[in-house]
Amino acid sequence: MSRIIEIDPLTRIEGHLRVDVEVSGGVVRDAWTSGQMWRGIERILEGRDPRDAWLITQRICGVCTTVHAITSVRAVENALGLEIPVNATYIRNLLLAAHALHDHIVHFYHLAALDWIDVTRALDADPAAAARLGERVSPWPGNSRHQLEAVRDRLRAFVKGGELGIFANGYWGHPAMRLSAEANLLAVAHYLQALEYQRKANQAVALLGGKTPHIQNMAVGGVTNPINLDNASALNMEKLYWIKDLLDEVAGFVRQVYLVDACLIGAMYVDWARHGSGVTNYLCVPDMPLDSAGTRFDLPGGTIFNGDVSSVRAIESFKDPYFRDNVAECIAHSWYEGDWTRHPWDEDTEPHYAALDRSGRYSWVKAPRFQGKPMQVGPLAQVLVGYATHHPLFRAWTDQAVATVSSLAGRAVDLSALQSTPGRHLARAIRAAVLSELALKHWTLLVENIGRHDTAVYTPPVFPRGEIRGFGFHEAPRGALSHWIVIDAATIKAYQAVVPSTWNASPRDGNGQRGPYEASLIGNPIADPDRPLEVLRTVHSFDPCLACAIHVLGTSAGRTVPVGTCGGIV
Amino acid sequence: MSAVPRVRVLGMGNTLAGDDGIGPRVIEHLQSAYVFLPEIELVDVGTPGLSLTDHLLDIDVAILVDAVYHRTGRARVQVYRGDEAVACLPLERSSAHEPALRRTLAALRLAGTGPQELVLVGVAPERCDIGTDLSPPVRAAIATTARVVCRELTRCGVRARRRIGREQFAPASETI
Repeated sequence: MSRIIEIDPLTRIEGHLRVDVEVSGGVVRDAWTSGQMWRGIERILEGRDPRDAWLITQRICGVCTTVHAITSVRAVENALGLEIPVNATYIRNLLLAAHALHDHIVHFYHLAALDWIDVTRALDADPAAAARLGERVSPWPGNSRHQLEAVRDRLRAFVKGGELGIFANGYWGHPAMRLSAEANLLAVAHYLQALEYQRKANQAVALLGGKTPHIQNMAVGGVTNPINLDNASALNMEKLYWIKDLLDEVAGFVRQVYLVDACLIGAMYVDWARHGSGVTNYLCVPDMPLDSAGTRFDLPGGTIFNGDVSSVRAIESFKDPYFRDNVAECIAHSWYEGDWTRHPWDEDTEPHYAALDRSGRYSWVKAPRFQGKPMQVGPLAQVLVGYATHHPLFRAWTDQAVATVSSLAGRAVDLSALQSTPGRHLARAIRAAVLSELALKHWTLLVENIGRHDTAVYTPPVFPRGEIRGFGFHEAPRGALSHWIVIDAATIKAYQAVVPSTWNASPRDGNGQRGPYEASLIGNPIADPDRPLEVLRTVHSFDPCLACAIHVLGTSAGRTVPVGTCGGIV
Repeated sequence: MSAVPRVRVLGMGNTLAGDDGIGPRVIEHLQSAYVFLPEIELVDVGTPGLSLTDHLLDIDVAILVDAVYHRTGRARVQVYRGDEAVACLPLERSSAHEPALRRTLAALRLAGTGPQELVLVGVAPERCDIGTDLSPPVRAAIATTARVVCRELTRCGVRARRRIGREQFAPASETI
């Protein structure tokens, strides 16, 4: 019998994402993703001063505040043709790199790892054997027998005290869990250590941005960090070295722990490399610019179609018409007035809710398309584009990671394994390793430039009388983010944010093409339809900015039976 | 606990989503209307994910202010403590941050750290749609909520002082 499983999640602004999957014979046959809340935040911006937009857009999402702030000022600067001082470019780059490192670490350990590790199995682990396993894969000092024993004992007390329930994740002992007791213990130890390292990355964000969440140092035209090496309250040498220390420590954790664990999961669940590829058109945008105009970048951007890396085409600048002219959003299956596919500058946002109809309209999320195609966004897109364009850092870290997975799995794994559910986690870890190097590079660029007595951080914007249009993009932790703005007489006339989770969680478009989540779920195994852990694995691998709960719909009875929750933000 | 407990008041919520923004608005009101000891920190945390960890470390007491649905209806101000507060953070509710808060607390407890005491001051929202304004009953509840927060501070042994109209508003004498 075929069953529909509904994953009916809830979030604040991105919308409550609901995923319905049709299961038969232990395999997902079809899927629909539905944003359950209208996201009309752009309307708040109409009529406001474009210089204030970043302060408002960074409230769109509580997790992604920094990324909306940066993208918004880039959009206004693009409309004005405004170039910003190179110091401001480096400071923004440091901010976005530190934020992404924080975000990637948190996603892997605190939001997604419990899909793959079974905390309760770690109770049976032999700390000495776990330490030997740790030593085999990494020089990390936190893998000592002594420390692992302490973690196991703490875990025992925690479970004995009946506190495990706070995790609200009912998947302990699930048949799809595969790690040994020792590997689980190692993972739990790293889960705890990751708390400390994500904090260090976030401290770097706070030092540069004034505070987190909601950084205070952005401005249309640059940043507001005064650079004065002799002033205690400005960005001075002490603060810069504090930031460097934090970035150094985070880099150590990423390379010796995070990347290794992502390889270990990839190897232990190597059969999962067959699942979850879905949409194999990829889009990422270039980031970490090296100049004021945004024409040279350290993070690659471009497109790949049909999983063929030889089809790569680069996005080359902040003004590149290849990006500007090829993005459109379709509302054929979304709850809005009309039936159109439009460029973000030309959209209107008139909600028109109706009952959820899987063959008709079923989502508040629009369907963004690039040249009419659905695109997968996120770290995997950037790793593949980086690899295809011979980016030295992406090549080196990807080759190393793929070799590590092969060695741990005991069989040869190639690049194609990245286009899968565990592959998205590995790609995110590879990107984190690259970012850990680039963050330190841009720290050096900033310090060297200050050393040349250049302390400029701001170019004042001048708004013309007539109508101007701009777009800004940023390769955010969840993928390509773009803001589109129309300004008339120094006032916002229209604003659209096309966010990564919209690309990935999009419903079908007018041509019936599924969005990336929908496509990636088809073919997923389901061992136990009452506990659809495997669906969550694939949805979580995208790092969506959403929380969810699961309901199983017994099609024969026609009623919804709640069976559990996925345990947290996804 | 040290002589003066370290307390952080965290205003949670989205200021672009109507009454959901009550947490940050209460923080604004507390900052402008009261004077606090330096051991007391007030933070508008928005709708954080696990970055909330940073705000829950190195303190004795965390007081969260947030929109919390209540069956008795609108603008109801209710205090929840400890496990009761955790239980108030259901996964099936319209927000991104409650599950993250739950996860954060779980992780901190497993790590053997985090605040010794958790208090949630909830305000029942009437309308959480898109917009920067609070509904009239929830706006009217800002001052009451701030007084409830101050009463909790008093209970912890730290008093806040009203900048003006002390007799009328002194939180220590407030009974709710």
